[in-house]
Amino acid sequence: MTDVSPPFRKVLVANRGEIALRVVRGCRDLGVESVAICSEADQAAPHVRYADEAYTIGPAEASESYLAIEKILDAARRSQAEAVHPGYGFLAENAEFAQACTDAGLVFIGPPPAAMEKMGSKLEARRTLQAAGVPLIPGTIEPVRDPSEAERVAREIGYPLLIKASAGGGGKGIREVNDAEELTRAIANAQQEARAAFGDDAIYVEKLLRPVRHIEIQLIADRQGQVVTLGERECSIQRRRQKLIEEAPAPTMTPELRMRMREAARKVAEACDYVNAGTVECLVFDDDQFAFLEMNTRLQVEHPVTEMVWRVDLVAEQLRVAAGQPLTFTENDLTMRGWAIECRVAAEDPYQGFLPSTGTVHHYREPAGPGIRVDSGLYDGMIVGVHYDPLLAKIIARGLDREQARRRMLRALSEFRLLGLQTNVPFHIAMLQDPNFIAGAIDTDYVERTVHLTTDDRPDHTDIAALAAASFLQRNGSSAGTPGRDQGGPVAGPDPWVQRSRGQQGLVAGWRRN
Amino acid sequence: MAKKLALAVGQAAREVEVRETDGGSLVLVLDGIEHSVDLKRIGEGPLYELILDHHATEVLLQREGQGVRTIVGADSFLVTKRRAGAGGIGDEEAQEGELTVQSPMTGVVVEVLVQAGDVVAKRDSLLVVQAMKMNNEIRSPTAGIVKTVHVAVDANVDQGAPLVTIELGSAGAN
Repeated sequence: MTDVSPPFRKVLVANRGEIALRVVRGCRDLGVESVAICSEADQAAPHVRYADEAYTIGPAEASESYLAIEKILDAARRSQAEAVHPGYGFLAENAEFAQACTDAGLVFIGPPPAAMEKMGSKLEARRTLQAAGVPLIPGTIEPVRDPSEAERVAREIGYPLLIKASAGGGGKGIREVNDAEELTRAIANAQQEARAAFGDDAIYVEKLLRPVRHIEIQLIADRQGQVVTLGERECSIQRRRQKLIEEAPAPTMTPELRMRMREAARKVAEACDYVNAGTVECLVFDDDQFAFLEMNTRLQVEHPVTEMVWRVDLVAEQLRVAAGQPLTFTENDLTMRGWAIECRVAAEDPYQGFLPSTGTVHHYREPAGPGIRVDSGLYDGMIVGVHYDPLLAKIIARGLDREQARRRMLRALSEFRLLGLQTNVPFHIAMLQDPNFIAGAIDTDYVERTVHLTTDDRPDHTDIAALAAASFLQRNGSSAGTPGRDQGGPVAGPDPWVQRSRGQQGLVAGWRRN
Repeated sequence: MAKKLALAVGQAAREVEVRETDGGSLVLVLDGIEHSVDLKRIGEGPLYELILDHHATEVLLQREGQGVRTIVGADSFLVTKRRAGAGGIGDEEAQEGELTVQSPMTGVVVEVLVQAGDVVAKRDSLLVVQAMKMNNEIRSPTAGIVKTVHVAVDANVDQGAPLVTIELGSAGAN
């Protein structure tokens, strides 16, 4: 590209897992040295291995490691890093951390703390954006203090509605109210909850729009005042407000709506003097209406689908912008081409209502081949426990059109190999073949009202295990303790007793789903 | 030359007939169905390619105690040889010895429904483990007599933690 001088000499990556590795890779592409931090549980993780330096900063508990601001700043000092990239989650939207970095003489690779605070307070964001002429979800822009005030608003906008915490976000601090009877109680509870969770009991009322699509606009702005919007991502395949599949562009998008949404996103960025990468999340309803939901003031999990179709490197641009360099492109330089879909692979059991699953990862092999990108924090021997987010890896498939991307994704999912841990890959395989998904007829409630998999769908591996073990015994002699190369140490964790429906499935059908 | 193997696969019983062919591969008979099987070790570790009826799948196989730890997909089984005369094909109720029911998840014991000496039938509820605010009933995989209850209410249990040990085959087999 244009500017060949690295924006920084050394950057500390204040995160773990796939996003830490993504940022480490972005650094290396630019000739920037990277510093990893890790907890004692993550010392063998790929982000540690691939970074130029690594510092173990505390025990597995996030509060003692990835959330421990002083320890992170100390690692930055020891490594003489010039800047800190927060990834997503953990401290990424913590204005206090951004300020602490600045105070320590480090560049925080993200927006200015003031923009973060303005968008972090949902009410302040609503007030700012109403003034800027951005369409809002009907509701209040001032805190609602008592039930009578809420009743008046409810009569105006109608039920059902949502009580939201001003300090919430990302699906947290939200309460659904279906009628006037529930209202008084819901307000008291929401205030109490908000005070406990966020230390701020300001709540407000929004109309619950339904059905809606979740569509968001990626943008990036430099310090020279240029704001570039990079089209939309469709994120309606979600469960309990946690996204599972994202794609770009959105299947139902029209050029006219895209133009209006990009224009609104630009206004949001300008209204809060935004710098660096951010996402304006919107709800889209009645085909061509949209309203502002919230702004995420950071790099998002699903940024790769935008990178695929706009052919940009968002992490590289983040670093450049943070160093004060201008973006390497203008909006007119870029065109969107093709289609990209992302599946979030998580340690969740799709046969049991997405219960978190734990275990040790054996024999991980990631998919590859035409049009496939994998951003992953997985490694053999990794113990997936309860300390961190269940997101393990992201598979991104690119195609000339949606159908090619979808077929490539199905191929990639079938190539995804990992032994010893249940993931949600079977859900993705089912959803990618769902007729409504294929038709693009989805909304944010689609996953929850559509039961795709139950315990009856769980493949029964008992027969294959019997055949494999019988072959093993035949080949290696059946007496235990025979010395030989097969001896080895214990490999697996204990065998969890899981209820299985036995003998229903044919042998081949059972293991081919694997 | 055919050989019969009576196996305990985790909590289930399977009987497999093993025949070597002239070509050096195996023919295995399970539930009356013949399968051509080849097992290729990949590298020096516990990873194997199981080529079953000409379809390949990766499995982990490693000796563990008296048995073989076998991991297929997300599932991990301890496969052991059952004692001779311990019952025929699929006759898992007639197993001898004892088995320990392990917690399928990390959580908290919120209810214990059995005590030592209780006679339990297959699928009887043993206890309730709460994980992620969901109550999960843990049922007995077999008939037998409760020998030991390893946990009490409010105990934190890890996945795989022993919950209840049941003596097999002493009751309810018929």
